Amino acid sequence: MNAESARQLIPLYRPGKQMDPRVIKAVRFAEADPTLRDELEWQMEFDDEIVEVIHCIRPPENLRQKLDELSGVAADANGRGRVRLFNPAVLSAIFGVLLFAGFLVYLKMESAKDFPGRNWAVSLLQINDRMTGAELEMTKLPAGDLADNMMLRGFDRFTLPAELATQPAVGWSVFRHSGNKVAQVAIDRNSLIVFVFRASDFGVYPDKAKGWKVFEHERWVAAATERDGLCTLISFRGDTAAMERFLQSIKP
Amino acid sequence: MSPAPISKTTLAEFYRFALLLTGNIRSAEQVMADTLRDVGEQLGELRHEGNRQAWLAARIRERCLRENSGGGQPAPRLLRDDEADGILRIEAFIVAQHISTLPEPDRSALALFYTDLFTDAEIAKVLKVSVDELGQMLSRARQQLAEAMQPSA
Repeated sequence: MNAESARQLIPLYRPGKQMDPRVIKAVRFAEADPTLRDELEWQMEFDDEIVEVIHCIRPPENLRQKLDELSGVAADANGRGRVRLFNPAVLSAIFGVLLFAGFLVYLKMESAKDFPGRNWAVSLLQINDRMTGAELEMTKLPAGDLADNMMLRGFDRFTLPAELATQPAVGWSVFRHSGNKVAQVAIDRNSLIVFVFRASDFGVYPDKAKGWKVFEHERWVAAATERDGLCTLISFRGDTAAMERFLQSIKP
Repeated sequence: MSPAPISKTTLAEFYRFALLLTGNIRSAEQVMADTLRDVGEQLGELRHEGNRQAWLAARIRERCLRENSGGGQPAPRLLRDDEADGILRIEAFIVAQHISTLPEPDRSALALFYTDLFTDAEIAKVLKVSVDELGQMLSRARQQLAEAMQPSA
């Protein structure tokens, strides 16, 4: 790696995102080079400002409904006055729509096995793979006592489920994911990584009635629960059986 | 497993992407509506979440570029009539307008980079370029955006 190749890769740097290993090398190189370091710092500050501003763009509250309406209007406008219901082509289309509707019902039944926002929960797990530990502030406090630290970093009303609150933490941080604040706590036991975020920010809603929703992703096992609008996602390397043993062990 | 429905958050990111490319709300909403109508027709072919999102991004981009190619009607409604919550919102739409005037493909590269949908490699795939080329596009686009946002003397 030299200055020129590092300069070409630095524009791809996004802290907290999955990156090409060459980009990480380039950033390390840049941190040791005064000129590149300045460029990197400018880029990071610029990106932070832009991303923060862009995430203030909020879609209309009823976006999906509005899109459906717009889509319907367009289809109507295109088809008005030309459609004959008993035209074989139209009948085929209706049959196709019915088949498609059946397929949608099937998809819905399948998706019921999961929970809303699972893909965002998985995207947080992917952060675990990129963590070096340097992102975390060290602490010896019980995990549930980190509310003040979190608040000072912009995450208000941090709380943990009672069964986790007494676990001794070893590190913590607050970062932005998709423009939304996420609190993160590392717990020594099981090398547990905990993410806490507003469920509405990501639309992550594990079934409240079932307590913890356990799922696996690659080498990680995770469990998610939503209480009072806050979603807690705990994760460690292992499998579902290990997570279920862990959850059993912390039951109050 | 079958694909999960598009989440509200993902939909919001696509909406931001469309707004950054078109620079105006009406076009962004229309592009989203047209594209999602197509998703309904082609859903069966898009079984994997990653492919599905990449496909959506590519379709939204195509439509946004078509919207923009008409020319002559830049950003008719930067602010929503029904909302007025502060300076940041105004800044957001100013940024969107600036990004929407960047040349292609740098504009799409930056818009995808700043929305939270894809990794660098995935963005490169959507734009059909190499990761190294994507780096060059992002570098150029940032510089142009920074210059455009400089207050005029």
